[in-house]
Amino acid sequence: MPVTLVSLDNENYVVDKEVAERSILIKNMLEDVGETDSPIPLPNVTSTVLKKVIEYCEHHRNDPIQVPDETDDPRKRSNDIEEWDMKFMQVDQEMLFEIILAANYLDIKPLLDVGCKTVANIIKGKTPEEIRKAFNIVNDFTPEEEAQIRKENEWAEDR
Amino acid sequence: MLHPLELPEIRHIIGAYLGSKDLINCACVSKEWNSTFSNLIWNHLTLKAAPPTLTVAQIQAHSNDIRYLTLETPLPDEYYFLENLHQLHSLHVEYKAYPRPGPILPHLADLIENHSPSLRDLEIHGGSNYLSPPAFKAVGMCQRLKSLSLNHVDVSQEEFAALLDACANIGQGMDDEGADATSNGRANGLTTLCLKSFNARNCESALFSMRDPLSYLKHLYIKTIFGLAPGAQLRLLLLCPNIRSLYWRRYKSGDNFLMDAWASYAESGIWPLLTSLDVSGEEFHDNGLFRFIKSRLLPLEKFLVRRTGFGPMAYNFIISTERHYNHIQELDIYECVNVTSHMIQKVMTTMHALRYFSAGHLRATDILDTFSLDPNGNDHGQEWICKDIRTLGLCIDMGQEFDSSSPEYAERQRHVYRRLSELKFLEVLDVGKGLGGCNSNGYDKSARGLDFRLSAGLGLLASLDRIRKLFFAPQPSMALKDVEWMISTWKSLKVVSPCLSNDQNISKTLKRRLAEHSISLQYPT
Repeated sequence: MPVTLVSLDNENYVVDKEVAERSILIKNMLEDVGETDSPIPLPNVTSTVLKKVIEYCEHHRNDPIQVPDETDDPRKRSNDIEEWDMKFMQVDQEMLFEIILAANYLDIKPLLDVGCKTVANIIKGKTPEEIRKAFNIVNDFTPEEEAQIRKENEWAEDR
Repeated sequence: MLHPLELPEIRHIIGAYLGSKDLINCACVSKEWNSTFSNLIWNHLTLKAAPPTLTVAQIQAHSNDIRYLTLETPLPDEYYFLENLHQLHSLHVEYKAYPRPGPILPHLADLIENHSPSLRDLEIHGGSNYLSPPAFKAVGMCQRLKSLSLNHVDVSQEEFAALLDACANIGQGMDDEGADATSNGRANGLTTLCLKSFNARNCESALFSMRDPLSYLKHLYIKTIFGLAPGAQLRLLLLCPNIRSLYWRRYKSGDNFLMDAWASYAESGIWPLLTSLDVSGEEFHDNGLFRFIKSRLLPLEKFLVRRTGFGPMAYNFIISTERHYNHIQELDIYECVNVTSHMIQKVMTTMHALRYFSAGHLRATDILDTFSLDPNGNDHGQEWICKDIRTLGLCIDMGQEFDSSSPEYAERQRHVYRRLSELKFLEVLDVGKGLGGCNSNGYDKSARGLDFRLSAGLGLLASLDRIRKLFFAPQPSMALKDVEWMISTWKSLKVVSPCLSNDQNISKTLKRRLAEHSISLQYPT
């Protein structure tokens, strides 16, 4: 059964239910209202971003649903991004962050994770100054404060 | 507009994918970032023995940030008196020295008891020795503990009784707070128990005097228990009525599993939820496995019975029972002498939920059994319907019926490739199982493996764009263009079999090209 999704700028997208239900937000909405033909408004997502998100959900429609495991140590998770996802994430930074926001809002955990991994990969190996530059962040530390933080965390450097 | 990096929860997820060096750099970026990332640095703390890198005082200053603590002992006693690590979810203690006799770790119990309200995950590993910490009464106080793993641990009768009590009782105090447990989708109690090289000599009476069932346990993983007779090991299983999954391995020459008694108990409904089985050994005979499967009212999920007596009885029941053949996601029947090529083909054409399948000889004749071409040249052979499969391990044998240079042989090989090409989600494909490496002598020389060259139809596999690992029978004469094709077609490829060509020079060139693309050469594990 198809589902109609409506973006912020009033574009309609018709997708299969199983594709739409990659979003836990939409899945819960559909469960609450039961069988319905009425379109689902997504007032936080623009059509350009929604198109991208649907593309992701189409590709991953057959993936098993992730079971959240509390005791799962995040450090044991793999940092690898599979080929298709990697290509999918080759977008400008503005789009990358919009995808992350949309994934967060729509509750699509695997997409949120891939987005965050992509950001993590941008951060890797950069100095604090380079990170600030990459994301336009204002430095509100004095050089002394920064040195102090470094000193406090010296023990962790060699891990 | 809102920026995701301004959201602490998003920064948190990003931080989970960063190592300590990068976390420290992030902590220096701004005050806002510091609030997230400086906590993350302390989330994981590994204390190495001799000399410890941090003092107790330094650690205590961050007591609220530490979630995962690893102690590589021997450490001075003072580290076992750490306290108020309110977020400590996971504690892992591993012995890293070679002492004799085995150490006792007298104060581990204090550390566990002091953090009993928050601990969810506890692992004690004796390394190359056996630890015997008097810690299990303290473990019993950890009301939120979900998983307990003991590796190279030696228990006394009293400690074993305390361990069983802990498994039976953890979670009971939480029942009153049922709302808390269910609203978070969390099950109460200790659900996972893992015993590896566990020594319980002289502990049988503790098992037989145990009254309460370990009713919260869902997953039981046993890799060699020493000192318990087969009857006592069965008694341990009988104490776990609600297990969903069972992993069991014996010591090489050790005691056998009481298969017939176990199957009878299964038939009498002792383990109604047990739907994932991972066992190995001849004692798991066909009739016993058949009786077990037949007694399952719920669909089987995993059936990993490598090197067992699995054969026609168990097979026929699975293949004719919809609730099983429609649901089994993982099946391992490799090295089961009673499994035929025909059975393997039937599995591939019947069980559509399979994600993992490992088996032995599959003859091309069976794959192409019903194969015929209609006037338009379309293939009507029986389809492999396990389209979701991610990992497939088989020994595909092209057989000796046709000469390898004949057009019939070429046509048959292309049909096998076409079958494989339909399994588009494959990540790991091994078609040379048991066909050995370049220098291996033990493999089946009568089997004829697939030819992984473009001239033989390799190009038909272009659709397998998720493939990460590919293993095949030793290839006598792959060429540069075959390897180049693999590199440019399968972007996710990380590992291939090492035997590419009998010509040393060509082989060297091919290996160099693969290495340049970070594709490593390995035998399947």
